[in-house]
Amino acid sequence: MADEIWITGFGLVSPLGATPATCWERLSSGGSDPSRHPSLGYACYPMRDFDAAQHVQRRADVRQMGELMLYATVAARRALQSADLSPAQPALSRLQISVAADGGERDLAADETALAAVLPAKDPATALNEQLMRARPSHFLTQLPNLIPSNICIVNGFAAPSRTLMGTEAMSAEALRDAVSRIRAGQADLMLVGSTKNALCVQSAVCYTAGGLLSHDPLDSLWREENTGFCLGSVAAFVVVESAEHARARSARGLARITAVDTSFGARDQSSDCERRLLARWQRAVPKPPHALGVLSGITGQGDLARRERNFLSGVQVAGTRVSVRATALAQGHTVEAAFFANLVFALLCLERRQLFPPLDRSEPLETATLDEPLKEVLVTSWGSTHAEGFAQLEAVT
Amino acid sequence: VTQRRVAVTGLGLVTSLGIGTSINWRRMLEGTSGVDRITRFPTDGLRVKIAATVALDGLSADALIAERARAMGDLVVDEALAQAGFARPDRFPGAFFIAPPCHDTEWPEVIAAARRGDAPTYEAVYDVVRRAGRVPRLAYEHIGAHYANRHDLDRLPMCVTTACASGSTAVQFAVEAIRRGECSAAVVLGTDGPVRPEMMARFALLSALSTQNDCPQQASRPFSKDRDGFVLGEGAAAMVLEDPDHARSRGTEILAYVLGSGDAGDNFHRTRSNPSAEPIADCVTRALSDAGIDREAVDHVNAHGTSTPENDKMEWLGLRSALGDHAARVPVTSIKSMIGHTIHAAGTVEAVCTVMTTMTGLIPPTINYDVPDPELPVHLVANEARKHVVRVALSNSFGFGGQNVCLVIEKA
Repeated sequence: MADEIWITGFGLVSPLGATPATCWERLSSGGSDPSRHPSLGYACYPMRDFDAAQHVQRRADVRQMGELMLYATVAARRALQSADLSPAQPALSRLQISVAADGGERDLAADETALAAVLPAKDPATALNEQLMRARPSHFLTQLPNLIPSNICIVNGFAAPSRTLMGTEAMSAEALRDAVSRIRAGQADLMLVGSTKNALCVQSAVCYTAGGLLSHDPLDSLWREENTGFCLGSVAAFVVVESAEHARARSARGLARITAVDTSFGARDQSSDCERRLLARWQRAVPKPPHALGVLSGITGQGDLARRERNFLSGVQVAGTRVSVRATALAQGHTVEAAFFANLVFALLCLERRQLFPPLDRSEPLETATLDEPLKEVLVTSWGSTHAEGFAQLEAVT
Repeated sequence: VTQRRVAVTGLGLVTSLGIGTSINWRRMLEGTSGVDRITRFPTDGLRVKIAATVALDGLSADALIAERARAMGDLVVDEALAQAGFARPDRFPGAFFIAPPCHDTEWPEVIAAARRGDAPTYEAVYDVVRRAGRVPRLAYEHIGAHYANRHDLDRLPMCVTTACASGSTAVQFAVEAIRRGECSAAVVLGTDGPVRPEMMARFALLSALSTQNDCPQQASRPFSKDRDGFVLGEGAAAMVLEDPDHARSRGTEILAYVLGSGDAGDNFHRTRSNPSAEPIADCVTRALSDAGIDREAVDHVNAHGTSTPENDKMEWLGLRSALGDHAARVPVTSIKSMIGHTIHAAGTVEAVCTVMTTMTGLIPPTINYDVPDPELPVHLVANEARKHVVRVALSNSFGFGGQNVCLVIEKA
């Protein structure tokens, strides 16, 4: 049984910046600015300054991936490099990959060509069949989310078993919880865990809108309880997780200790007491709360979740813990499955500097509160837009 | 970790052969094919017009993949929980692990929205959906949340995809969770209803499907020399897995054990196996090692056996490499010859049938095996069911993206 679990590497592809340092600078100056989807017009935080050809050598590889998978291959590579796991490292042969994702990505141009033939057709069903048979065979592959880890391996030149967890924010905290549990029990030695999101993915925007979850216009605060939806963001974030023992044996540096990680299932109706259930889990996982706790909040922009996060955090503060909170969806949009991993990476950046970046929302008392001591622990929360919640707590490795 | 073996205490099965484990098992032993011409939607313009579909009361012909998966899932979960004897299946005291279809928008809904918006663009679709506020059939209805609500679970079920290996990966997750004492009981559900025009077209374009439209019931021919692709199938399977002590303390019958599992990644190509068959051999070897048994102990293999030229060859090469000379002596079967390839559900469907084989000492046949392939000297249970005492069996699953999983099932 491995008691201490470390994060030993991280990789990020974000509109906030190309390197951890530029990312930190941008976070410290209020984050990225939202823009509008070029054709659909919804407010979002798309990737900036990301040139696929610069990161993926073979054009054939680029052609077989959508943006979602491209971001993931680069973020995963950065995470492995940061953990000193080059393809030549023997430890890499013990790696297992866990990815949290929505679906894949469709070829929108091909879909619209099909629609143009189907809508006026006398026999729409046959017209659709004929159109579907005209697609490029490889289109299908970008629709399969398990091709995210597959492309991570193919593009970066190594093989590893992988599992892709599907759907909504909660699968991300679940993926980390599973990774920690497997490592602790000796069922895995070394895991690459993460996710990827593309704010410009039209099918996602349509689905979220159909569920009443997306805000068409930008949000200037995530803490307003009258807000009804979130703005999508683009990001890919991966972390490398292993036991302290395993890391020491290969002379790898611990960036943070994962002291707690858990999830719970709660509904989003008025009667749901999911924040109380989550608090009970946190209290069980963190029996001795610290004096000061930085919180990177996974609230999405939906007002209901702001209320629940406030309730949860007031429970965290009951035992005398001071909290200072940053709701990062204001800096990069809500990145759904990837939000939890992006916040884990931001937590690592904060722990390295022993401080939080400045408040993103200066009108929110939870954000402007100060900790009065160097940052040693960060709580990352995850709030599902339709159900389920989770958290992880990280501690600096001294 | 304390206990290597995990007990199987409940089974549920729905395929094109019927609803319920016993009718499926009887028809499989008889060598019945569930493949037929597709009547659910017009197939003009498609290259492939056959599939193994499941007809369910109350589901319309244009039910979404996700709706079909949920309806079949409910049936098999209830069957498995009833067999396992849980007094309150609506308050299941454990975890769920699900291999569902991948999330995607579906054509009927997109076309309907584009029609309302009067333009063949996603812009029109988005505007229509935005004005409507909510369009439930286009929204992401999470299958995990459905089961969390239905069975009062305290966590969202893990919903996993490893493409065509998903149903076995879900079993792996459950076995790991029970072994480390995280839960004493778990439900594994694999479910998929992929027979829709887009899936038919996609797999046909990848040259993965059999084009034997004129003889549907003979189209799926795993390991035959004249095999020309798989037949798309629908189905669902559930297994209740349990800590053996927990099962005994409840006084429920242990049907079989999952002894171990193994997986291996293949980065050779997005849709093709490494020609060395090494990753397939690796997942089998890892499964045997996880189970703590020698390869000579393997009495039977329930093959992935899709009936594509590539898969069956690579599976044989992988088995030969992992099992050595023993490979040619082990009776192998592929139930995909009868029920087609149920994609995300296949691993769980085949695990359930492998459990049935250990329970009954009967191996269902690989039908349509008329022309042996001299390159694949596999010891196939050809065309007729065979009596064979099976103490230890393997169940293989392989998927696009280099996913390879092997489960080891042991007779109780």
